[in-house]
Amino acid sequence: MATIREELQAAVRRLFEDDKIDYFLGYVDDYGHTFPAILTKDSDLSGLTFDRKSYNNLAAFLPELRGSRLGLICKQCEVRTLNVLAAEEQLEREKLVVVGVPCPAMIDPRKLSADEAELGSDDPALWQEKCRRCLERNTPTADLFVGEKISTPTPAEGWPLLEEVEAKPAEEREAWWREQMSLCIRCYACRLACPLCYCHQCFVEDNKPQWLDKSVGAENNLHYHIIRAIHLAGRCIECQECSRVCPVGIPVDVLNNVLSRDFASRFGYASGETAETKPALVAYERDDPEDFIL
Amino acid sequence: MARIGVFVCWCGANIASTVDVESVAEAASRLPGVAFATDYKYMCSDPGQKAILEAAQEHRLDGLVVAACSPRMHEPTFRQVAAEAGINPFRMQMANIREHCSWVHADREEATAKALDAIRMMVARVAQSEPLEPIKVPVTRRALVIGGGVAGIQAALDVADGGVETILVERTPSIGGKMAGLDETFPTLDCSQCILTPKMVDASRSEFIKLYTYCEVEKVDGSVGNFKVTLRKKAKYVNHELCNGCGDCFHKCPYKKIPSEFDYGVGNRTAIYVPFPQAVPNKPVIDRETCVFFKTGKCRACEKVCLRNAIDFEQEDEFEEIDVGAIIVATGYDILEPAEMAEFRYGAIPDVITGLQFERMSSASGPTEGKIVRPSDGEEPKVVVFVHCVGSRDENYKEYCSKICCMYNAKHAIILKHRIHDAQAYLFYIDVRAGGKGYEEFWKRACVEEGAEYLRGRVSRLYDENGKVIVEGQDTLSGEQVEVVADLVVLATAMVPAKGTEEMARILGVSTDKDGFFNEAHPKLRPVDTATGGIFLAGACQAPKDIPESVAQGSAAAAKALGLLTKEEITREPTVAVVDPFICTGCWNCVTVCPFGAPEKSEITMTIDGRKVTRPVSEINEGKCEGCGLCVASCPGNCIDQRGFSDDQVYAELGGYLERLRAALTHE
Repeated sequence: MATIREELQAAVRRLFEDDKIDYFLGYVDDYGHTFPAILTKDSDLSGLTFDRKSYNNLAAFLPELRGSRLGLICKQCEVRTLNVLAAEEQLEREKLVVVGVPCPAMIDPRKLSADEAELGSDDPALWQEKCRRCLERNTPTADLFVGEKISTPTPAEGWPLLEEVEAKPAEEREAWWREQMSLCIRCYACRLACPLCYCHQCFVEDNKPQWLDKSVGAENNLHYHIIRAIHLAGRCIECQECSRVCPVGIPVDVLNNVLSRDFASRFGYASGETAETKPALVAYERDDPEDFIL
Repeated sequence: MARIGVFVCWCGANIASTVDVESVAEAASRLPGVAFATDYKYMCSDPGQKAILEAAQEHRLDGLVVAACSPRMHEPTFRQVAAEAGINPFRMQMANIREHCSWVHADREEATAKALDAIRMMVARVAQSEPLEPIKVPVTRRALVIGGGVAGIQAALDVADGGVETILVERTPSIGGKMAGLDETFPTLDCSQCILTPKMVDASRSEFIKLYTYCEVEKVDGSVGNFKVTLRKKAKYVNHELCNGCGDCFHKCPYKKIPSEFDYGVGNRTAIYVPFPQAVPNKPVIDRETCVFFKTGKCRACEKVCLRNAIDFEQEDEFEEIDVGAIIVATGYDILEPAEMAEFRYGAIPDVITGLQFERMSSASGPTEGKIVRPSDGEEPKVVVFVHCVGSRDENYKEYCSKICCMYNAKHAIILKHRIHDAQAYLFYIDVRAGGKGYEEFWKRACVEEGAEYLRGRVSRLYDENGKVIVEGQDTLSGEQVEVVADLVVLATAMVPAKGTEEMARILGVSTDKDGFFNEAHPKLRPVDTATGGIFLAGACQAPKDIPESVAQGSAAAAKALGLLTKEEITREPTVAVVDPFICTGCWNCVTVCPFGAPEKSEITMTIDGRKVTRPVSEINEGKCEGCGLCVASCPGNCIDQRGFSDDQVYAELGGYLERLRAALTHE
């Protein structure tokens, strides 16, 4: 039986041969790592793969490639992102070929010991948090599906880290956030990795008026992260890429989770749940429940 | 550096008694960007304005801050002064130190400090203000009148008289409204139809009026001067181009027992029908709900008999989009459903009817040909009780007075006496409100000359006994309980906004009051305007009104509409939103949230890294933008700014506010 790697490479080769796409957005492995890659019909496809280290949310590359005919590997994370991007009119869905895969859950590299080479582990303790909460491990609404479908374990409930932070008394919690924020070097990797941070000009770059002091410091850093979280309110699909890419290990997504939880309880809303989901803060129905709005 | 002049007004003692205006002006003169500051007793007066003009010249001012009352009061005044002084009017700001300061504070020291805060904010704001020019928009020279009752007809006729094309939309099959169903009218007792039907015919014949009956307003986009209105022309199932109104169809219609809406159920109609013989247009429609053919697929009697082949069962609702510059809303009233007020036993006792049903009975062209009868047995009533204020002036139903009932009850009592000479009318009233030309004399006539018995008090109980309606109540003048054994009881039910008014308000984007009537822009000075530019009100859709008032308001609304439509172009505030196309991502949030359809989908082509890229971007149609700021707030990339309220201005203003706090902190 063909491995998913072989099946994937064959499928992508066919897409190029049939002139269905100009680019393919996938993952290649090299030096023991798995990287996101943009491939053309002339590329060497032999590195193309999909494994437990295919971390990146590939949808983050879409705004750059807008207008091209594009194939891409979509995990559940990307599917939800595509739904949000489509609702925000940032996507030409008809130009996309969504390649579905059975997602084996991504490893959290921080949970691996340095010499741990074996990545076939099915131990949920080594998974990324988002994978424990995954609702569907086989890509829904894919244009073509490679590999064997797998079963989805019962999703975990709640946001463990958020709950842990919230359990702290207010002063301790503030101290914890200050500590976290003092680590931030404002490299903006979180913003770059985020598939929904697609503004051509971010508020941090505005200088007339200048909303935010550009120097690094706990106060300014906190403002940056809070404003970014607010800009993602009702949009964040919890792919946790912001936290994964953070070079200093700030769990940035905890801020987003607070808002996601509010949107779930207040609006009965999960962003990007289906292709029909409209942006929560823009859509308006006459019978919207407003019991929490004064 | 800006050269701003600050002018602090005393407003007599209004401001000066609480705010130390002189020290405020002195402190203001030392603010950065301020070239001159002074104070004066009445800045808005002629000497006050002159002082501004002189100072502007002497100190070469390029911006003004007038610290006085609310801009709602005098902004136009001081903008005018700025323009005369050669300063862009949008580089004039008012600091409201009256309503926001002196009127609401008692402590002189605090109020003085706050007044200086307000001035500092406005100085900072003016320093950041770009000069703006008013936007000119061409006007669509066409009016829409919604509702074909007497108010709407009058409005349409008057607009048409000004030579402006008018579209008159009526949702029922005929224009005429409630008035077309009335008998004689107070206080002159001239026949309603005789005075209305010629107007209806005029409306249908006018070269400037396009009549759309059986038609409803579905959607309204755009704004003053340029509305885009979608009309739903309901399927009539009769081709009115072919129909000559001969009436063969409704004579042949086998289904004749449908309670007529026009007769309030006193008479019946057929499934294909003209609501009343004098209808305009005098051509029938088929009521799909009651037509046997639509129910069973069999019949087609009307089709067989029609010599003009005008019956068309295949017809469907049609939509038409029209462009108009002004809209007059004349959607009228309905009566409060009396069955909802169980104590009046309407529906339970057949001889309890409403005033409008009495009108249809006494109307010579009505279903009983003017004969007043008891619905239960068709007998002539000898004792008739008229009940005032049914649901009006009643905290359980409607608190307001429906205004016309006192007069029409008196009229009914007189008509009763005229038709049935030995009949006796009893009227239960709270008090008689007869303010109007000839009104007082009219009800006195009912009382004195026509022998109507007025009983001051509310009805406490109604019940039927041996074919009579027993009405119990209190005569509060004699202090005695009274009981009237009546043959017929007529309820003067409260006037309420016409069914669908709430939906219409939503479609039009105008507000309604606590009782659901449309809100006028100002209860005294702008009674026919709504708060939305270009939309005017006429008739009972605004509040209970009688015929003369409705007609007067119809004419008034027409004058307002003509005032707008006879202009070549209108100027609009330039405080509109503007998109920076270079950073817009084309998410269309602005398109979704804008209630006025101002942001439009557009494209921009630019060169990025040497390759040409075409991107979707939003563009604001300045003619449509009302400057509400919704798009500015909802733009995720902060790509939209609002002229006159730019981020820079607001930021500077906030900085001005925080200055005192910052200074205090620095001193510590």
